[in-house]
Amino acid sequence: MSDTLTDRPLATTQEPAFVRVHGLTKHFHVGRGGLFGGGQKTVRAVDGVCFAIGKGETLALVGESGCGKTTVGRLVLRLIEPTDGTVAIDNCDIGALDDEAMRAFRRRIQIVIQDPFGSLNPRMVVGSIILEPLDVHGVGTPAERRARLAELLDLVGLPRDFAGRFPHELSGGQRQRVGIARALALETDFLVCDEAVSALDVSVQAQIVNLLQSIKKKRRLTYLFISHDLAIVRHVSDRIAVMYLGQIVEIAPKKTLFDAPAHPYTQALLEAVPRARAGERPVAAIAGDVPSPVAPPPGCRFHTRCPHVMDICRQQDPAARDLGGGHYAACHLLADKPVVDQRMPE
Amino acid sequence: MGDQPLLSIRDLTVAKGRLRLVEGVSLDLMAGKTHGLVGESGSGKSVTAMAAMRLYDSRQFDITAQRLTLGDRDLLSLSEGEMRRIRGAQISMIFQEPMSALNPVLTVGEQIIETLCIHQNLSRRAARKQALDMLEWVRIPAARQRLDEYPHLMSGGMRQRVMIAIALACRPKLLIADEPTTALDVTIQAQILELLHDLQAELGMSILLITHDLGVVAGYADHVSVMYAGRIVETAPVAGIYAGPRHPYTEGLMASHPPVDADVDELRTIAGTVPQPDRRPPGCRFAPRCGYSRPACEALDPPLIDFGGGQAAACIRHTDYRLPGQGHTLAAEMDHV
Repeated sequence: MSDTLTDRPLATTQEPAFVRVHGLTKHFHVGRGGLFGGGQKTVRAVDGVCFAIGKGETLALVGESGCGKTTVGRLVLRLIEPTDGTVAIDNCDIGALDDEAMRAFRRRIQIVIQDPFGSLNPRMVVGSIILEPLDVHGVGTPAERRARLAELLDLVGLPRDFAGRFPHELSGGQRQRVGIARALALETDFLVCDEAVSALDVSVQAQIVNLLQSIKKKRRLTYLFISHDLAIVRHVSDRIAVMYLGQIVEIAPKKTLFDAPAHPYTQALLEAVPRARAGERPVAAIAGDVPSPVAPPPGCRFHTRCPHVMDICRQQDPAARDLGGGHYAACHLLADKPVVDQRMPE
Repeated sequence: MGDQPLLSIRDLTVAKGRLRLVEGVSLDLMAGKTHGLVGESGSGKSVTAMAAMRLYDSRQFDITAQRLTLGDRDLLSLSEGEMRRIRGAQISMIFQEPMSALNPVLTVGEQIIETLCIHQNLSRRAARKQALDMLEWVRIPAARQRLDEYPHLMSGGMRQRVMIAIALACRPKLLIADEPTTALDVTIQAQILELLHDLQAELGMSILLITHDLGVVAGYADHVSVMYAGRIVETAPVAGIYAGPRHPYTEGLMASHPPVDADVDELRTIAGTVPQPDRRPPGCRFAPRCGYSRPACEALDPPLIDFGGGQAAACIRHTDYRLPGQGHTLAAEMDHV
């Protein structure tokens, strides 16, 4: 396999890749065409995404709404089938597994989603919700399950008597703890957190962030942390990938990304985050809206909003460049740096 | 006369049945200034604003206040009809979710024209011309086409610009902005905040900025009030509160969201959750979650204590766990409760 945008960053983590994503692409077809002549359109939600995550590492995926980060999370867990590309977890190509094998593999890969109100069955008590994965996979004797439930409640910091409560009796933070306990009920070693703390009030958000951090340490989990909140991402991740319109535009170790962002989009994102300092206003560095993924702009997809746009940006999709130290970015401004990606049009 | 507040609220209480949603809220908003109202969900910040606009049905809500004035007008004594003429013309409001505030079956042009016709008695033709100017004013590209578009065709940022155009169509003196950028992406949030800031300077209007985001307040407010469980627990000029929060809740809020430009080892958290209106503890409402709490805190519901420089906080920690101006005896008694 050739070097790609993100095979290499792992060199800096000294770890073999636990999760390896290559050329991941998902196109959704919308509209039916036919009678009213609307024609079918293709939403290019994810387009040639490559990255790798080391064992025990947290890779954050950031970007604005519609950039495809949630779709990537679902593809990585094979909750939806990719149009193209591969996902390997612990050296297992999960796209090649048959239904039964995939079902068995699901014990190891789980997701925590944003909405703790919509993701828990209102007619089940907390104990049944948390143990449902064990039922599904037929794991454990009744005694073992009781022990497991107690252990999971302790792990996520819920009192044991919560097992008999219904979701509507819990606060948002408590519900999210239930969602996390459920995700860890089996032998999970890879967890996708999709905006897992975004719906929570800030004081509760901090509790859940700390919980996710401590669980990761205790159980040596690998996280794909999907979020739009750059401050939270700075706090939880080891490396960060920035997405724009279905593509990763920059990937770097956390410190590098915040200290020396190379892509104009990353720079604008960082400048736009309000700082909690009196009188300091965020900078609206880029104008306009994200273009539609149905018709992404030709050339560099960011060129319609980029303050540094040049002629070449309108014509050629920029190659990913190696900036050293596991830092990669795809921008024509970095033309003096070595190319690492084959994503260029012929 | 420069010291006369535009909006003045004294001791506002909003109750629904037994539930006291907001209790004893007072604030002054100066002309041309921005007052940030900060708090988590359920703290009462939106209720305060809705009550100030008298948007609650008096058959369902008990609303009392010593004072509720806009300039020299007493809003409490106005009839419903008089109040309606003030809303939209002198006080206007924008919300978090522009899609649900806009009418999906009317073009955006129609919705702006509607406001102009109601409040300014313009002909439709003149109103349409002005609506176009308004869209250009809020920096909507290709405004002429946009005028005849329906809201669902627009992005969240564009819809919020339309809302701003409608809200400011009659050049109000006061804009209540309730989480105006919470549903927006961060780059779009920066654009909308900058737009509001520029329009505020142009119109000289005051803004009551309701948000849960202390970062947004830091950049755009002159004065901040922090609400917790229906009360204002701290109020201060923006520089003062960021330099030194006096209430432990303010301090906790600031520490629980990590900075984007520095590293922290572990996020500080506030234990527990905000109590429901019917389960508020006696004494200080924050005491059960407060790391500095002493027995006196559980017995005494502290009023706002003045710390000078316009800063006041409802906390007795900095006054030796007693109310200022009261002798040893009270605090000593409290400690033995």
